[in-house]
Amino acid sequence: MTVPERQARFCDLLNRNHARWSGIARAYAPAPDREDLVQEIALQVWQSLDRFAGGASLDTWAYRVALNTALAWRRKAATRSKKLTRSTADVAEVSGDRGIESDVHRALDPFLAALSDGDRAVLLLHLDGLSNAEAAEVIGISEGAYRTRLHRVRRRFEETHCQTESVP
Amino acid sequence: MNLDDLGREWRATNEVAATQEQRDRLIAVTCRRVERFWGQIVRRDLIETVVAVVLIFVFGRMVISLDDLISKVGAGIVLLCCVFIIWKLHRARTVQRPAPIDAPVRDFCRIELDRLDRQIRLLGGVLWWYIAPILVGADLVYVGSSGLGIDSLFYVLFTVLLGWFILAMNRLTVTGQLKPLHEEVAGVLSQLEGTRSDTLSPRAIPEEHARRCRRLGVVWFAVFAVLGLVGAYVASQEVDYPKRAPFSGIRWERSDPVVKVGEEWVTLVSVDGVATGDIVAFSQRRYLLRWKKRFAEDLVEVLARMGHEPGATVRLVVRPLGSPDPQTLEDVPMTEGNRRDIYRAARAGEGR
Repeated sequence: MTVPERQARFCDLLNRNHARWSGIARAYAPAPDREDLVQEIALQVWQSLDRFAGGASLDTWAYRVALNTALAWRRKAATRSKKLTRSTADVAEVSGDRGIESDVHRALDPFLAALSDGDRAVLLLHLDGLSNAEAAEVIGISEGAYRTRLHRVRRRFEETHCQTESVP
Repeated sequence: MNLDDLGREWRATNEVAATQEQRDRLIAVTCRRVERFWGQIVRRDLIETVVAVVLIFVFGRMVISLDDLISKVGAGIVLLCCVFIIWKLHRARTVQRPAPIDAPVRDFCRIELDRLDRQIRLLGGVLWWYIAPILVGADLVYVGSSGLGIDSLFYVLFTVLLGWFILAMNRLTVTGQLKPLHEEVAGVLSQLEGTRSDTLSPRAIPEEHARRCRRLGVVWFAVFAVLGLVGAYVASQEVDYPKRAPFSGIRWERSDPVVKVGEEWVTLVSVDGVATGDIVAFSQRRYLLRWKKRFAEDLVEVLARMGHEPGATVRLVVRPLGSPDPQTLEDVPMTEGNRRDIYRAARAGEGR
């Protein structure tokens, strides 16, 4: 693949997936580092483009790269930074505009922050609208196994949310 | 409120956040970083290659040029160790490749876990493949060329402490960074495989690791400061002994020195009442394989260390070759010219 071809392919991919990558960065990085993570994802996607074998759709493949990059980046960042600990604060802070008090900010961000990395990935795939088959392919498990994990996360969300709502 | 509704809202929020302006900036930044990334790889490989060549050259030269077998063996060990380390690190980089970033997340975690296992094993054995051989080699080089003096003791102590510090730092890296990381990746993997599901996986507190690193640094610094002060004091007490000799030539018949006094070759029996056998025995103990060289070229130092520092002249007891009767030569001058002749003859002998 020539450089201009690669660049064109990358731009096309970025246009379609930028929002997803931003979402992944939002779920895995605190606010000040989110842009760095998106850049890291973009770099990894660019460098891996040659390896895309065509087995899955390009977008699903890119999602896989983005998710792996986020997981690896989070581990590196946690090792680098003494301040970065797993607390609900990091992702809660990640949420964008504080002015908009949407359900996403009110309920979803704290819930995402409370999840482990693995469960967070499972939920993100669902939130980003990937089909169960695509999500299972991204994670590398069977579709049934993915559905089970998602069901477990969903149940936890409902339990958490119901408890929150029942508090007067 | 359910997760499906929230998913739509989530996508809409992220769509709004990801603007065209950001995308353009991202493309520009990515292009720049790609160029920089390859620059870093080339630089890293170049630095490693240059360091390897320099180390092999320096120690290879020592193996050839050092005139003492112990030092040669030491330099050889360090040389082999350098080659081995370079090979091992190269192998670690090529065999333990990072997980392909486009692998399914579960496979990615498995490969990372395997890689972390290997790294933990690599650092766990650092004493045997890295620290110990280099320490032994470096100590042999020094002891071989300096002998078994107080300076060698300090040198060995210093290298052992340095080795201990490197080992402790490696252990801290394993316990403070690699093992928590290992647990974390294992946690993600087990969550994805459905064998475990908890809200948050455990993570070692980084502050604790930093505190232990700081404590180790302080202890190490304190120990080295004390060692440095004592070493500096000892070094200040070292005397620069004059390079003089009472004879202008020397050759050996087994362990007996035959020396040239004036124009005559004689067997040396004693110097200022110190029997030659005692001087030889001391020199062998103190200077190991270099004892003949030190006896011949540094006789003042050898006698002084034995507690018999000679003056400007000495009394020699010698035995003419072929005669059983010893003769006493009084007031034989210790001259720099004699010592120079011995030194030149030794160098000429090496050159032949």
